[in-house]
Amino acid sequence: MGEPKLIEIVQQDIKDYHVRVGSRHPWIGRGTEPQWNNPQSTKAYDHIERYHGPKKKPENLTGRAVSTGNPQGQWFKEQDWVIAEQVIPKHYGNYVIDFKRPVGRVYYPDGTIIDNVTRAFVQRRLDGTINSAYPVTGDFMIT
Amino acid sequence: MNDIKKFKIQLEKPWTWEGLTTPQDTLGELSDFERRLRRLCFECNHRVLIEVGDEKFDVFLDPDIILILEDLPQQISELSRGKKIQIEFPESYREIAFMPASGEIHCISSRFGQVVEREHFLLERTQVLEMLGCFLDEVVCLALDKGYITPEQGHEFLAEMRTNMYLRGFEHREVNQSECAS
Repeated sequence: MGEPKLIEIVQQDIKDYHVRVGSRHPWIGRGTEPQWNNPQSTKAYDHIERYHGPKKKPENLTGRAVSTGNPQGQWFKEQDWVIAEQVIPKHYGNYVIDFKRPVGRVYYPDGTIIDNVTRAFVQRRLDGTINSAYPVTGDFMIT
Repeated sequence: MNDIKKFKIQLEKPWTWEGLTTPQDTLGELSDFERRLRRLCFECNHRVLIEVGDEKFDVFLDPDIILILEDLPQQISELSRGKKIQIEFPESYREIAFMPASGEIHCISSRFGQVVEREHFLLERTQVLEMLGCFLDEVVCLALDKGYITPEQGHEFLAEMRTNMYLRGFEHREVNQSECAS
């Protein structure tokens, strides 16, 4: 797959440099290794589809943005969170990556919708699985 | 910074996120117990109040606690053994780091997103451990009370946390069904 080379890691907050985890590395989590290449893998990608998946209705994401005061990102394609897992460093931590192409949209509490954002926030757990990942705008900061 | 502050985490009122779908496990990767915990968080969703020092904010069983619940007993156990832990709420743009230092805990409460903020607090170690333990008991009681898990599963889930807390002299109540029902 050539595309991951084009994706830029624009921010990172690595919390454990000692252990390398994630796809193509020894599985250290509970039970069997997740199916990393399948965006439907609950173990690898947890609730990303439920909270930020392409099929979520706009009113649900706007409603969540209003009730929490936090913008809500929505992916265009499921496969992009699999690509995100592949390109971020194999360490527990938080990352913002730039796909250099539209990957989703962001719903704001005031009803504004920013379409075609190119960045995403990705949080990798200690065991390498993805705790959360969602599209964000260019002003999203982790550090 | 030198003032010892309080930490609080507790279940509040039931809450619904309209349009949130049932947790799925289409590939059958989760254990039966993991699936039950996830259904509990979704079907019995609640607000969860967190107070750290002067800060007060809400998270939710689903989508926040559901992401950390399975690891929470081990995290509390590690904290009781003097290890640093980090509790992450990426869906609410927040993180809390607890770093033990003798009888106290240096706590950093962080926000990220459109703003980045970090507040530093000093907490009492025993108070933090008791509060986290009580919160976990509260969630397990809810799961027992609503029939999502058996008492045996609840005890097994809490075993690691309890063992370590007992060894270190922390008073911690036992969970049983009659207590949950009250």
